[in-house]
Amino acid sequence: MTELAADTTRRAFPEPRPGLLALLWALGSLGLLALVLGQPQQRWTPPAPAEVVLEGQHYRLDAPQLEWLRAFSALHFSEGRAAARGLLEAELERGLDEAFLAVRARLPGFADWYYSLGGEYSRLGMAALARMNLAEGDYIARKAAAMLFPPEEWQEALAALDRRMLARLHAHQERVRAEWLARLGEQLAPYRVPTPLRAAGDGGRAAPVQLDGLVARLAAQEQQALEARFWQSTAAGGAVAGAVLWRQAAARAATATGRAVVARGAGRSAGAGGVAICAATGPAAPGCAVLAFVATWVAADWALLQIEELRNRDELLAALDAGLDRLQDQLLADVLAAYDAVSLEQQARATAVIAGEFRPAQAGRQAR
Amino acid sequence: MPGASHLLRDLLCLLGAAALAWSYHLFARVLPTAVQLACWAAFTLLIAVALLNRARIRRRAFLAVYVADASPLQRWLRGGPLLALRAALLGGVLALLLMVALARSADPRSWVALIASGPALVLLRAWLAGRLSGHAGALYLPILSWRAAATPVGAALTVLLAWLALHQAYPDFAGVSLERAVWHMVDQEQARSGLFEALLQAAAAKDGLRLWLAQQLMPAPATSLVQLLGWLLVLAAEVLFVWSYLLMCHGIMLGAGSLDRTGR
Repeated sequence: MTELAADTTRRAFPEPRPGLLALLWALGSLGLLALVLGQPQQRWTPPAPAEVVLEGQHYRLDAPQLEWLRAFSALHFSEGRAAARGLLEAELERGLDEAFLAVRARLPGFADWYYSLGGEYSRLGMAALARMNLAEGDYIARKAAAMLFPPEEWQEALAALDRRMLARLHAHQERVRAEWLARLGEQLAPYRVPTPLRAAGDGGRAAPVQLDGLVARLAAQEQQALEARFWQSTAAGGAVAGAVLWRQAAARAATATGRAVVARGAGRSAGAGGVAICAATGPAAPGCAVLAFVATWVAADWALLQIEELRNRDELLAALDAGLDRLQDQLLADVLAAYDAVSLEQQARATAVIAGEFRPAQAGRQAR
Repeated sequence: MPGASHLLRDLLCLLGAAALAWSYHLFARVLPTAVQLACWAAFTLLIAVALLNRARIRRRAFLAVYVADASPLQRWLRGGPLLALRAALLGGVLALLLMVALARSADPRSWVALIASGPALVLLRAWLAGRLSGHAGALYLPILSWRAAATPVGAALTVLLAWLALHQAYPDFAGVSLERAVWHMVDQEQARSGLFEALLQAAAAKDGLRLWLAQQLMPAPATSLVQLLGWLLVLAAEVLFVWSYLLMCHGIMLGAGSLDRTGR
């Protein structure tokens, strides 16, 4: 049996010279030792996944997933801004309706003044003073502004509307951010990893994407954007709005007003005829003439104003009401245009911030 | 006593085994899955050949003692596909353990120990063969001397590797949750082959659990049961590694005809 074993060994290995085997073994051992001590293990270094931190939780994502996250975030906030505009428009329409309802409630008072003797004579007086450069022109427009858009009440109404609008926008944006966080949390949940410990080889790793910081930055940006003045419209200033309103209404009711002025001029000329009532002579005659003239003038004016009011009041009120409609529409359009400009700028900034935050994804794409 | 040529041939075989193991260690993390599977098959074959050889020797001894020569049981029980399948299954598992351990053996001192174990094993075996030649049967002397030498060398290697493992620098897990500790260890393991990476990470998770337990439950040296269990865990891992490595060496020796295939 031993011979059989020896025979098997001989067949497997033809007998080499021991010296050669010893040399081979010595060289092999030294070579292997040198390699073991000098050659480090080959490392496999796949593209480093991006680390995302959201509400203190860590997630690991590859570059396409992070790119999806960036696109999703940009789209979500963009849709949020579009929805915010709809909310703003609705709130603005409601608020302006309320504000202009108060203005409309003052229209009869203005018409009363307009068709009163006081109003008539103050218009005449101010027109005369304006001709002598002793007063500013456009008295009726200023009076209309003062009566229809009392500065304090009008500014307070707009300020209240502004506060409601901003509160609504803030609430909406907070909801948009909360929804974003919730959806992001759902999407990221499968990729959650425990908070990594610092390791010796971590120096080259990209810094994590801090989405908590992104939320804070976007919130600050939106806050800053909403501090912009949306009420710079000319229609928002009560004085200007009143003047514009009166001019529009006056232009619309020009024919009727012109007829009335002519009629009142004719009526006043009838005042000269009233002097004839005074038949007295002597020292009382001039006084009687003046009194008769004034009484006839005033009576004629009052009568003509009554007739004019009867004929034109509704037309004037309708013209003023239509003017208020246009003014309201213009104010709405101006505020929305101002918001759109701010929103567009904000969107560009937010897109830049989001793209900047997701920079590790870009680095990952370049690395691949 | 075997001759000088036999000794040198055994030395070369074991040097080849160490070189094979180190080459695998060098490229383990960059090999694709197909190559990993081929390596697994090769390691399994080597270990299974050694296991089957030992199983057949035991079976032959059993048959010689308990079964009559003329009995048909001699033919049925002599060891066929079932014995080979059992050896292949155990060999497959041990090959996986060996591959993972080789890939994760980063300490050059453990590699020097593995290389040095070769000459120690051969010389001890030669000395033991001389001592046992008067007592053991000639047919079983080669395998008996191998096993008699492999046991103390394996034990010494196990103790040495465990000692090195215990004196290695480990991350500080004090005040860290178990989840973070395990994740930290798992996160350090990367390989080109996804399957192999999963195996490496499983082994790293086991190490993370062991280290965390060691640092949380036995921060100071003590003679508690927990500390004993910790030591046993380290020892068990090293025993499995050394056992599978020695089986691989055994398989190589058998393949090279350096050991008599008594189990055939």
